[in-house]
Amino acid sequence: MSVPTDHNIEAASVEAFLKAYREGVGKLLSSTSISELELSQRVASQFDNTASGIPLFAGFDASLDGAGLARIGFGLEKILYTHVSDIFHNFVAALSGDETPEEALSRLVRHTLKGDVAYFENLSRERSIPADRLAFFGNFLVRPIRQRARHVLESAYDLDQWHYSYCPVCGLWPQMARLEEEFGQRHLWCIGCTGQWSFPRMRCPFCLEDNQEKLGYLTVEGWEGYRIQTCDNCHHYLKTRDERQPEPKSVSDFDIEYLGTTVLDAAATREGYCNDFIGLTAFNAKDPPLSRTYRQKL
Amino acid sequence: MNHSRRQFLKRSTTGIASGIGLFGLTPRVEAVPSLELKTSKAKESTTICPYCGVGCGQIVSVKSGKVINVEGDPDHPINEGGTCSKGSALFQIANNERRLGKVRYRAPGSSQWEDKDWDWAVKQIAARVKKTRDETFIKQEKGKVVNRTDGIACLGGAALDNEECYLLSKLARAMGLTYLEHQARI
Repeated sequence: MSVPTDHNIEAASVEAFLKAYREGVGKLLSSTSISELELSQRVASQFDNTASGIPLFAGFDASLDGAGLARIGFGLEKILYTHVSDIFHNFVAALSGDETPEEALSRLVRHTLKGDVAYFENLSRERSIPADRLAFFGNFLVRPIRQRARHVLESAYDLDQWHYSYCPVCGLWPQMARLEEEFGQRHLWCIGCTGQWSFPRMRCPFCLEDNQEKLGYLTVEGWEGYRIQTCDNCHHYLKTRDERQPEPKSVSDFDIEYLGTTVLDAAATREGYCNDFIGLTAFNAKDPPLSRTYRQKL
Repeated sequence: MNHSRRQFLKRSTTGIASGIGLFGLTPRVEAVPSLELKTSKAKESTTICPYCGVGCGQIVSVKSGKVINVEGDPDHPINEGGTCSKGSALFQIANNERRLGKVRYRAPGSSQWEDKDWDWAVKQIAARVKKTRDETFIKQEKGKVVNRTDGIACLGGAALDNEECYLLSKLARAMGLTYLEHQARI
């Protein structure tokens, strides 16, 4: 099964994609995968770990409904193929290889939730599919699970007590941030579960650089409500919505803010900054003590 | 080229992922669309408000060597981003057309201001401090060596940092001043 390797993605309507994704995958996945009870039990059992910097899904072996997942997997493939890129044509078949789609997708979901980078790298070699594409598909597939888990976690745990730069639910690096309207406090925003938690302004969330000479921000003419935080140590950037600016009105919707500001990604990329962390979890389950060095808020 | 967010959202000219790393697809610089974007870079530095002794944290943004914004530091434990009316006007310390840019001098009895240079001003200050000190210096009092002057007072300000305050008080005491006070003690 050949998978196109080119990233030449046709122009697409972002709104149509979001509508199709939310209506299709979101509803199906929330009703056919991990139960509310299992998520609540996970939150209860992980509560102490969460307080000490271990994300909710680290090491989580979810019990999954393979048949339901296969239905959702094929649905997601169609949505991505239709609205994002033809690189997702027959993606599930290419991903499955000799396995059944049920087995392959269940494995993908489990390892995506755990943030198992080695799995993506091995599968990429076995199936000749770029690892970033596997992570892209996996992250979209598990998104509704993560979002439900975040709601459950928020009801039991004050996310302002989270002192790390990676997401307390997913373990992913933040993909956006917002400066709150009243005092400009920074809240990092996760792409996986769309959860938010506060983090110091004068510290790079990716490498924890706090030398103010190396931190800065870009502004783009015509986009005054946004800034692009940059770090000259690790050369990563973070799109940031400044809610103190009157326009545009804040919509508090991660997908709209994220997908509606691709101009800023273009500007940051042109200035030599990158943002390639999404497929890689910040939290390394094999070396938790090292990950805990990311703690910085107090 | 003016792009509003909603226009962009409705008809994205770059596509959803478009090779710039969205949602984790590996970024490709050559795939970045050729939009006319005017970008500028600013730096932020944390500092302390100079107005009083509370010591509120501030963040100063600088672009091309010019201060473009001053705001309360939300991560500072004292003010958590809040500022008083003076602190919120701090921007005017750096950007104010009414701020004096050179030395102005009005001679005793004169009604006219004159422009002077700094070399002249520093020499005048030194000469007058010495003259006053010499005229008012007390070596002994009640049979004891005191080596002081009551003719000069020293007033520090919150705009001085710790090291500057140390140097100022050291200089004052070396000259024999006993009246040392600080504005921030309010």
